Amino acid sequence: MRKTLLYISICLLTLSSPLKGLAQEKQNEVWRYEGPRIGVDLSRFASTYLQSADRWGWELQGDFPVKGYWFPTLEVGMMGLDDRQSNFHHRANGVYGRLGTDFNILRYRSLDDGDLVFVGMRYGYSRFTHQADDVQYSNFWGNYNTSIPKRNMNAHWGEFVFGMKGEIFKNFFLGWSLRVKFMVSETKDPSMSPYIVPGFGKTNVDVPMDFSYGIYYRIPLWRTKKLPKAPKMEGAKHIDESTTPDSQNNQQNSNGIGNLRGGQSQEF
Amino acid sequence: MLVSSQFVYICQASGNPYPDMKKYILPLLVAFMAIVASCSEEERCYDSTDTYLITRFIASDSTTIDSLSIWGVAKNDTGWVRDTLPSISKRYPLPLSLEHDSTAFVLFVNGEADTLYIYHTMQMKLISEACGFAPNYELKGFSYSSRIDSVNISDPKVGPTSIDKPDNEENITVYFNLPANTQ
Repeated sequence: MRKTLLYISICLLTLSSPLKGLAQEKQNEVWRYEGPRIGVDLSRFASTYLQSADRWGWELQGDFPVKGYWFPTLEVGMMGLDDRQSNFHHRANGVYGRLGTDFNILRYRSLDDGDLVFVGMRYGYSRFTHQADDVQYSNFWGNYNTSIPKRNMNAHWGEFVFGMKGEIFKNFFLGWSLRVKFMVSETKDPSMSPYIVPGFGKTNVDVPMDFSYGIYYRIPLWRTKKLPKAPKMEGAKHIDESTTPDSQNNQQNSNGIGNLRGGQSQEF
Repeated sequence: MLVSSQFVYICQASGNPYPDMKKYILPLLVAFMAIVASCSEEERCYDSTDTYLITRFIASDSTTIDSLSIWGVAKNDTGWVRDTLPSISKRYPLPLSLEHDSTAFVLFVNGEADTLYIYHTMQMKLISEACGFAPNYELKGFSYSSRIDSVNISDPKVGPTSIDKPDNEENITVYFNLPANTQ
């Protein structure tokens, strides 16, 4: 199942690029396409093979443009862990969801520019079960073997996100994000505090971090000729902000756009 | 190689005149793989997993503990601790039973035997993925024979970190009321 998904993504990548070239020749008009973007986190499949413990999972991500620069985001996924160590066998299984928003810190340079460098925040929630069998211990008095019964667990956490999404060809995006997480609350199990929480990752590190790499498709539900207006930032201003009226941003600028990106001011 | 040439092709075909974003994606993918690979390294256990009851033995005034050996009841074939150095105060880690809610020791002090029963509850607790589980006890009470005067609890919680207590701390203190003329 996981492998088929991967193959499909690769096939989409290879097939659609030449088609796109043809499409562009016919249609010279430039529109800005907008709509919800859905994608799959490829790093979850990779982690299955790279982690020492037997771990599987999937994650779907979706976002929706609001005023061009804000992207409210929903991420849902599942994770399972089957960790057989020499003196215990731990299993965990659960679903998770994250809700939050990304904010693009770049400015769009043209109508068909959909690339993002974003910062964002998430609230995460996970519901999972965990248990342990074959818990072994021995001391002076002999060997002892027990098991920790299955238990329902909850976890709430927050995340700070930094990442990029690049439009590799029309409506298809590749992106990565780096996350720093902090646990807000989790169910207390007196005999076993979970060392991996679905959607959160390892809990026994000082600063829980995560990296995700995904491929996304933007469903082009509507199109527009209007470039989104950049939100006013307090403090740091672009050098050319005073000289370039906002209305000028809406024009399709064909000859290099360095000026909009904090290039030299006109006066110098 | 195949991947990178394909990647360049995609960038060109996209027709985006500002491909600076794209050239980051491939190096970052490689960096990401490196990060994940380094995370999957086998972890080692650096924490203590041995749970002992830290016990101090103190003789009453004007007497000393010249020799002490501690035997686990029903494990008489091997004494747990044998010690013949004279001192007023001795401190030893004692292993507690895993299967039962009580542990019994025979204490040979200056050649004569006393028994000490320790009542407790136990729960296995996960330390970490690398270390596994260790027992955690809560002390509930004691019974003892006549030469033991009293047992004082300073810390009823006994876990794998109890062994790290500083020299002047302990879980329990056993006070002996030894006859002055034992010597």
